[in-house]
Amino acid sequence: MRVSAKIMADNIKANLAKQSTGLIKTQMMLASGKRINRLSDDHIGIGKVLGYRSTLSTINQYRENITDAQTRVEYTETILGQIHDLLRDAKHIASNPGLADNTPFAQEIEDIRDQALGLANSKYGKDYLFSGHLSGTPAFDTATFAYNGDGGSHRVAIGEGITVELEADGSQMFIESGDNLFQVLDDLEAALTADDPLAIRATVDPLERIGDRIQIARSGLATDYKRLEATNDHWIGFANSVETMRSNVEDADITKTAIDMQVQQTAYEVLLATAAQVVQPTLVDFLR
Amino acid sequence: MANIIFGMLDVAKTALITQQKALDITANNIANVNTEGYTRQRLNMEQNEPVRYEGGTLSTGVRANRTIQRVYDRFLNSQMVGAAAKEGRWQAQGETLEKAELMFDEVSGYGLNHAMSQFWGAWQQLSNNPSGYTERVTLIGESRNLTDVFNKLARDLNQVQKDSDTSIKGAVGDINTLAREIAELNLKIAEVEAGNDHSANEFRDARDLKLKDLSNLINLDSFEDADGYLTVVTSNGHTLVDRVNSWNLRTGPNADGFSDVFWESSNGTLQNITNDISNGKLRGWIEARDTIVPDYLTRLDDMAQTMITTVNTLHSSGISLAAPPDDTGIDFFSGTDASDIAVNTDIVNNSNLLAAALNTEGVPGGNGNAIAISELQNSLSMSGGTATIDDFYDSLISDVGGNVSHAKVNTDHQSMVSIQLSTYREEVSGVSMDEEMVNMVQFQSAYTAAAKLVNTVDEMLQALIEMV
Repeated sequence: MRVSAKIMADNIKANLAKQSTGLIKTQMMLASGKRINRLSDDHIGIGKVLGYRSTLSTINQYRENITDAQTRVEYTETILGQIHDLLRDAKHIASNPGLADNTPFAQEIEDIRDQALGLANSKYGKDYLFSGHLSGTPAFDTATFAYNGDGGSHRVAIGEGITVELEADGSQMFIESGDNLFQVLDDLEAALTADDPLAIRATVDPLERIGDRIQIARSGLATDYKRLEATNDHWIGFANSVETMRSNVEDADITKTAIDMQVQQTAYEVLLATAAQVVQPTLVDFLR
Repeated sequence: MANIIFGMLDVAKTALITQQKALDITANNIANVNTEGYTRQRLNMEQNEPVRYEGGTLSTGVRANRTIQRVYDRFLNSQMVGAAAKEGRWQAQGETLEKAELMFDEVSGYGLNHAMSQFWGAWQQLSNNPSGYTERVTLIGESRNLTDVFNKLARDLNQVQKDSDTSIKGAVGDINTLAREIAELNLKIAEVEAGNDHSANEFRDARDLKLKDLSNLINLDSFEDADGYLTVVTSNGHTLVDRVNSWNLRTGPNADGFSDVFWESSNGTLQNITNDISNGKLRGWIEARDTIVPDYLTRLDDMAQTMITTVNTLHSSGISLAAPPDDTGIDFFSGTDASDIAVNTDIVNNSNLLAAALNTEGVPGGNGNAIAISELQNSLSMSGGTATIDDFYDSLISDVGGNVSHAKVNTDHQSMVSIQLSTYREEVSGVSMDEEMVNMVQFQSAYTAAAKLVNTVDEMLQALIEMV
């Protein structure tokens, strides 16, 4: 084989280019911490990575939805609790009316009624909590006590095709068999003012039934809350495993890459050293 | 017998001249050691015919063959020409597809995948607070971002096609120049070599280089006839060079608004050879421009179309916050494909027109439609009901990367082949400095010896004269 200077030079140049390309690639991996820096670095891998990324982003969104729903449930629950306390006080008065002047009781019931009505017309953000889907309208009319909402519930997406329905229908909570909590309280106030023991006693039963209604709604919310919590836990676990899978495909193994880099660097230096040795001598150096 | 002495002077003279000639060629080899495409040359020496007479045989020395040999392997050269075509094809394709690859920008995490995730997420946000102004404005913002990414991708991919198109036009110009130059070199070679007295080594080296450059651009067949003319033929037997004539390629607009490649015959008729070009850079660019990038675009269009139809269908069946009877949802997206998909300007101007509620729900609290639209993310609406939009896009991205790495692997392989072949060529035709130095020493000592011979003959003559 005839070996000309050009063969050697070309070989050295081609190998230098190859080695430095490899070095740059490894360097890039170390700098970005990623194994895939261009789609073509691992085209099958990047397809998977995109899938993982979408999954992670949906999980994040579901978890945001869940947090939002949890806050809403907590808030609703607090309000229902307060109303229930008020209702218990009213029931207490209705069961044990005073024997002489009931005017102070009547006054108290009026306060209770107004407060309960205010609570039932609470807003979450700018939405009325107990108006169903008609969340732009107060749930109960302050004069007639009529329910102005609809039967809608607040739906929350917590997973692929999975929604939780949070009760938002005030008529389900504060009206039982046609007995409207606020109307009953109003009747009670009137009965107390009129000092009509029969009428006063007549309000005990509806108050009892409405109280049960509120308790049922509260236990429903508690169930919803548990479910939200469990789903959230599931998503946290799942997000962790997806993140691990994504990282396995997309992220560079730093230790391994650093060692690769070391090996490549050594090879590069060896090439440079041999090139320096090989390129220089020709017969010209030895003539004369 | 005295004429032997003078004969010896003659012999010495031929030796001096011939060795000098050999040194001259060695000098030329050394001078051109780094010249691209240079083929080393060799002086062939032969004995002069001796003179025979009754007293014996009288040597007449050495002479140089007038044709200087070009040390050359024709088979190797035609292999290199073929390799240049393949290398050109994959190089051009790789470069173009790498540009397209960059446009998708998925590695950084801000490509279409991200924009789609944000879009679906914004619908869910809206479902959490269907009357919220912030949620509505955010959704419109994310949607516009999504359509912008679609539009930009379509535009950028189109630009990649246009870049290839420009390269194709430029290459056609280069092909014409190279063909004309080869035809001119044909003429020069034929002139120099007429009568077999000389060889046009430098012109042949130049012609080989041109042929390789030409082949890098377009696939071709070539053969040399007995007179030294090189005939170059491309796809479908269309001649580019024949003897001292060359034919031109032309570009002309096609239906897609790009350029097709035509072969122009002697009488000016044009024949479309775009799809017959099977190698060389032209093929790489044409394939990227007409097959691969359009495939990306079609698939993006499919995605955009599915987005438009599925979202619009749901959205226009929902209920918005507008006052009845105008509360029936309207189209969410306008446009028909990736290049012109946009959010309905009415919605952009009035976020109350977002229909978050189903038509069975009340407003503003109803959020069923927002949830339904966000669920489109998981519906198998692509590829005949087998893939979600996300899946479909992920596989597109996989293909974009796959095409680039396919082209890269082929480029690497072809450049390895080219390096191998040029090493073989160097082995045969390259100038080895060591070899030339050895030759130089060899010719120089022969020259010195011949000079010595003149001296010796001179001394002999001197002795002869002194005898008188």
